[in-house]
Amino acid sequence: MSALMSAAMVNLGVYGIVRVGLDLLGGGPRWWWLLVLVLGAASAVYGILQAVVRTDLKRLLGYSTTENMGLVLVGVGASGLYAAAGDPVLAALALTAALLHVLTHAAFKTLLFLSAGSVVHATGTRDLDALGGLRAAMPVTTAAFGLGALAASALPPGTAFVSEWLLLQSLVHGPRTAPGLDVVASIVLPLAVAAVALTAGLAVATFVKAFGVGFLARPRTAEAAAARESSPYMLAGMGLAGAACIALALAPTLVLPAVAGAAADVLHAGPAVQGAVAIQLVGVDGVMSPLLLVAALAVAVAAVAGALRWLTARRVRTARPWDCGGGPMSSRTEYTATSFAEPLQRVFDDVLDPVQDVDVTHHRESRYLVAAVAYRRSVPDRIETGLYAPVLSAAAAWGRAGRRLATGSVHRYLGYGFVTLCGLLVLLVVTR
Amino acid sequence: MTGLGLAGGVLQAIVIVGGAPLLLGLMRQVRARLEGRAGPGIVQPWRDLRKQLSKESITPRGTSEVFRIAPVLTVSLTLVVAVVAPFVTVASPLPAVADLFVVVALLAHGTVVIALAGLDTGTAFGGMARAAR
Repeated sequence: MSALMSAAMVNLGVYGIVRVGLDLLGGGPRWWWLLVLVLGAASAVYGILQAVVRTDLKRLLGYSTTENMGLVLVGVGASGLYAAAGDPVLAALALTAALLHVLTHAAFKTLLFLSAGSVVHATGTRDLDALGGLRAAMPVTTAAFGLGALAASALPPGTAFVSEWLLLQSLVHGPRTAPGLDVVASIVLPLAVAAVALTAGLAVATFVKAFGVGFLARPRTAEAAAARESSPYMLAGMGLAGAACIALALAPTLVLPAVAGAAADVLHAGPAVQGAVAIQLVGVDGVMSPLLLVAALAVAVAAVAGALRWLTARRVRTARPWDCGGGPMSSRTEYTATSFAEPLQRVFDDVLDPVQDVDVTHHRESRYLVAAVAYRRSVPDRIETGLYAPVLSAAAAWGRAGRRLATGSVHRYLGYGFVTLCGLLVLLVVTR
Repeated sequence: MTGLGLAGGVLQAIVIVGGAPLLLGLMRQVRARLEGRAGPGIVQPWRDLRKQLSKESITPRGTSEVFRIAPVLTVSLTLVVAVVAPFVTVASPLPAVADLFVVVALLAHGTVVIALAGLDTGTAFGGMARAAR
């Protein structure tokens, strides 16, 4: 359900903006696209900041969707800006990047949510602080989540790397090659590059946390230790999504002609990319080949592994990890998702505004003895509490006020009809 | 892919892999001389490496394949960067791979692999190594 919601439904918003803004209205003023770009960048950074401090696996993935949709809107906004500045080549490139990112995001987010569902099914919890050590009991789910995490952190050779590369290319080439851009756009575009770079860095931290804490290390609870691999049907679903991810990662050129064609149609320009093995940008410098990159990596891994085997001693010993002589380490000493994200939470304190609370209960006899210490920390979503909650509560209050009119008395309803009729008649007399 | 590019790529890999410990040794030597010490010599990092490589390798109990393949992956990712970045020649053996964004992302990927290996040990030290990055 969340896979469908997060991977498929959210794309309709992007479709609506592109369809109405670029196609039906044929471009539109510059400030629209500036607004789309700025809101997209803000939601990308804010979304990933919320994701990096989350410990609930599914909420983390949900906020990552916010981030990715923000990136897509950065592309759409840049595309509109270029189109308004009279540069269809870069406009097509930016829109191609945005649409390809919609596609890759749908693929890897499906995979991530399916594997998260498998984890929830096996352990009954979505809390990363209660997971860990799943790689031994659930190897297929771990591999699937790892593939999805690689894609979501936009590292090569992951699925989303190509689309983020295209997005960055379209943003950095703007101020240099598009002469029609004005001062504001020339300032905003480099800032957007910075926002995308910050987002990418935080996404890496988020998914290192989700994968490293949730799946590696040792189990933190009995539930995580007792996890069993999910049924073959669930694994088959993950396999399908994973195959789509791998195909998009290695050969994005399979879908790029269609995506670039759609973007070109909307903008009445030529396709922005070409090439079968390497992705060659049209009109600006830039070429990248995920397939060749993976081949080079494979050669390098083979060379390094071979050199190590040749150079090093063959003796391998398994030993207890270093524990300062303090006896075997338990899962209590591990890094948790909360402690992993703590430095970042501290850095972005002003944006996240976390709520921390320390309650110290003293002993009855003396204030110098502590009976209990309770520590609570939560990071409420400021957009949710500051924007959506007031709107929702206002709507609910409006509904409650309306309910007071409907008491169930037929006489009262007849009275409403009579009063409304009289009011209408008076209105007619007055306005005629 | 030209012959010059191929030769340049191989040469770059050799120069960077062979030269990186020498650069480290040079920096240490300069620092030692500045502090009035004799210093161990420029090739000391290579001597250290030879000694380290001849020792047995120890794997912490309870770690997975992630921990074992992490060093190989990190070195490989850096090696790809060493081959594609213009250092000895601008005729890159893989022109389609060389791109600033790709290079930065590859180096970041190396860091990620080390961080995951640190988390995989399940001790606070592994996590701290991650934080030091």
